[in-house]
Amino acid sequence: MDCDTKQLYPEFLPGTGTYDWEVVRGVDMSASPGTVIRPDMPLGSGPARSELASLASIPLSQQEMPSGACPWIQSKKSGCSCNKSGTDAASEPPVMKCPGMISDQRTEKCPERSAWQMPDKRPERPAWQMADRCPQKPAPQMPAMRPGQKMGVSPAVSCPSMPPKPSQVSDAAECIDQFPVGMTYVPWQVWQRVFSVETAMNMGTIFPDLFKPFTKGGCR
Amino acid sequence: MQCKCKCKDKVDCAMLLKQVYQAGFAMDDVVLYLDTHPDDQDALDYFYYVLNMRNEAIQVYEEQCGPLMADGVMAENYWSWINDPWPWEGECG
Repeated sequence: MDCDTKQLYPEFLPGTGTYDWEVVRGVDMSASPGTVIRPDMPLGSGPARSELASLASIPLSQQEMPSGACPWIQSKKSGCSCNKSGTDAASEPPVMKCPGMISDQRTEKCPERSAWQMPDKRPERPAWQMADRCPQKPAPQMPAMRPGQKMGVSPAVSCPSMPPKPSQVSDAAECIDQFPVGMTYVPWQVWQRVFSVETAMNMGTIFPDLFKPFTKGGCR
Repeated sequence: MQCKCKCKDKVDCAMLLKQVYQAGFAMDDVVLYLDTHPDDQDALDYFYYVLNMRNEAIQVYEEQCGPLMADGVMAENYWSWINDPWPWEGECG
């Protein structure tokens, strides 16, 4: 877990296997199998919630806010720290620099938030981005929907012209790596010469392109 | 068992019925294509082509071999639907 993840999930503080409330109560729950319901604790304050999260039930005036620091990160357990850029942290928010990250992209100022507030949004990262695997390839262009087209039908994509000619099949195969994973894609069918009605009845289709009888040893 | 079929020629009726099946199959297949290609003019033209072919085949069959469906009964004073053998009789195709 990196620094960025800790900002997104401040309630999850790994490392020791012991949550803050366990330390406060003097209970070693490091070997605990997980979340338990303790009869001596009110609902909503169990081990699934951190001490910081439980502060939400305390009026703001009674909370001891760490002045000038990122309030939702405890420096003793987090891998990154908020370096105060000035002497007066209250007047000028500190700048957080997380080690191991690109400074020009990840340097951000710690916003003034309450302890129980989650960050507004996660880093914008398109789901289809494959920078790690194919950094040299541009982002894929999603095909535009055609008039009257139903969802779930993939129209012709921008990579090859459809239908791909035998010489273009390899291009289409290469382009498939740029599509989002977890989806299935069907080449867009175009109208063609059809079988006669007598032949189509025997072939099982009016389209010669869809005539793919299963024969011994594979599909033709 | 005596066949109640009024077909003049059982072979012709089977052939006419086959033409109905063939045109109907082509119509069903192009319907599937049109579901995803509603603006394909070639497919629309083919649909009306096989639709007319199917209607003509049905008309010819019903004129010579009897109604294919209940709404194809042509006799005004007699319910000709019962002239054809019932499915469990295994006659006339």
